[in-house]
Amino acid sequence: MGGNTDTTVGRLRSGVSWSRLRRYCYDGITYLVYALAIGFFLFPVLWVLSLSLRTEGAVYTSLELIPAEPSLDSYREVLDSGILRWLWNTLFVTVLTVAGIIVVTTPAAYAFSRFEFRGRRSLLLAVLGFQMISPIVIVLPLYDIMRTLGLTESHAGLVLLYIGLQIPFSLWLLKGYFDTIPTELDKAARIDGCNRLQTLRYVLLRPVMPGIAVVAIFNFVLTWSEFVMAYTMLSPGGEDLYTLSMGIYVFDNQLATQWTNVAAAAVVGIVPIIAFFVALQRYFVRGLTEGAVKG
Amino acid sequence: MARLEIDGLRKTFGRGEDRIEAVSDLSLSAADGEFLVLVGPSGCGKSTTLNCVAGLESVTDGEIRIDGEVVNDRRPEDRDIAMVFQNYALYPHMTAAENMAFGLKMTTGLSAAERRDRVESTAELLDIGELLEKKPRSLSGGQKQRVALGRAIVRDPAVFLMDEPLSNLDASLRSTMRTEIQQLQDDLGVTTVYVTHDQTEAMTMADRIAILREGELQQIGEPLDCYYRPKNEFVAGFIGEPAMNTVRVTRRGDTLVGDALEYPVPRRADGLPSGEPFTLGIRPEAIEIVEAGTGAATGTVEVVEPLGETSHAYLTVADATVTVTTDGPGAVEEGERVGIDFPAQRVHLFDPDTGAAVARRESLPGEVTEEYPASRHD
Repeated sequence: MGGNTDTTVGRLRSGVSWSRLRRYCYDGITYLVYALAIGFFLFPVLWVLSLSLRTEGAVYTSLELIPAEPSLDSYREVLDSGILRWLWNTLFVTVLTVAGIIVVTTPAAYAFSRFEFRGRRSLLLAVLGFQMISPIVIVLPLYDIMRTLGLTESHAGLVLLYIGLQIPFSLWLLKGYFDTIPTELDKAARIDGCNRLQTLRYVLLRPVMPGIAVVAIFNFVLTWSEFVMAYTMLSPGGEDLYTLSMGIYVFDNQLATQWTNVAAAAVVGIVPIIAFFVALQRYFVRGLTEGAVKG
Repeated sequence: MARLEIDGLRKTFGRGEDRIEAVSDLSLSAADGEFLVLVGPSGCGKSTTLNCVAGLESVTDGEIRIDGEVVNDRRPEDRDIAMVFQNYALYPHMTAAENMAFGLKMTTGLSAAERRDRVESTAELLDIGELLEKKPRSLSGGQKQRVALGRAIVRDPAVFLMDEPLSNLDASLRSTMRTEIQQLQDDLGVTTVYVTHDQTEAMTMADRIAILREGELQQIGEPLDCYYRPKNEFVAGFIGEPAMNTVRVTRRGDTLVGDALEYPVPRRADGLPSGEPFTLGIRPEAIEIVEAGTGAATGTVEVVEPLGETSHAYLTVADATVTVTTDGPGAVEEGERVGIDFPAQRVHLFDPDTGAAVARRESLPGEVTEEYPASRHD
């Protein structure tokens, strides 16, 4: 009953076992599904990139993904048209928002994870409840409040609004991450002479960094491409205050016939997010698998 | 080095109906340089006690004194203690050297060079010099525990607190580390409070052991004293492996009578009232196998577990299971009917209601030589 005889059950004449063949098939199907999913999400992006590299005439005449005569004319036009100002505004608002969220949620998540205090559970549920409300539903009352406070038509107001709206999700995510870090580390730090804040600063901040990276990336992407709040709060203030998403919208209206310029503006808007994501991807994946998912 | 005193310690968690008393009126002390082990099953309050001593938990009631000074309201770093944890609790982003130096950095005014010197000399003591630049994730369990010990030693504290430091190690490493910790403690002479649920660790390492149950101190004393002269049925059952056999008996005249068991009342128990029930306890290693129909009782061997030097035989006597430790393999065989007997000095008697020992033996083996060899009478 040698394993290499033709009569052996479960083995083909070529010597490849059925189980291995089955595994190849499963692997093949898995990769096919991956490829379809990647294609589904990547195609629109590639198509926009393709449009941005065409001449205006080729938009309507060609269905080729790689343009026959690539042109950077639309990028030149877009960069000359004020998009850099909007890019700067977006970067300013996004960075301040992300920084603000991290500054607020890190100690808050630490406290919710580590301290037992009266009302802790109710507070956490209240925060979660707020997350259930769609910002679109409350955009008008929010505008009213912000106008009363004199915070409309200002980037500072928009940053505060974003921080407030995005704290609940970030807090839960980060709390889940803190929960996975053994409390013995806190105890060891206290024995070593740290107060609560020093424990957070010197001992827990580094282990929790992947979780903070996840919060940063989520909020960076969310804030960078946010439109409704920005449009509501900033649009009366003039184009100088616009963020990129508003700019592209205006751009689209003004240059409705020039699709190559709209596509180029979209590409310019996407590149920083991709760069940011790629830079922090390592932390992002580790953070998702180690913290939020398990926590 | 210092004397540690715990006086009337009480610690509760929660409020109202959810209130749990983790430690109840605990009083004990560890002399200067003593190795005191707190031992007991899960939830007995031993770790809570340690946390109260460390200052990681507030005290509900009572006093904790280190070298005569009440430290209840002092922060952990001001108590002159160092602690070793079960899961090592090394800071994952710091190297072994940074882990060891961190406490010095936060609590002393030592310069970086002085800190480095102290870390290096401690590392030499623990033979972990080559590990100093490694991060915890690249260390094995044993190495991590050595670094954690180093972190405690480098502080040169008055009291070491160790919370089940060997629980995460495999059996052979645990045994090696047990010896190393004992030796270190001997060399350094630092008062040590060591928490464990492992009675072997407690018996082999301690100068004295304190046995806790549901937050209350059951007995404190030298390991052999707790083994030979347990104060109650819980201590008798908890200390010793396999656990002590217990059977319900009643005194009838000069005899203790139980189901299928008869035994003469030991002389030290002469004063006990006749007609009263007692719990008779006898350790498996104190029982000898005799011919069926002779001795205190007769039973059938159900299972034999050979361990090499000794074997554990499980006998059915009436409805009860009696464990006997025999010499080597082959002393008894499964299915065999045998008698059991034991010396009177090794008999323990407990009050069946309170579990308290009655007519406790007064001396340990060796202290009164005529108690041995075994005899059925005191």
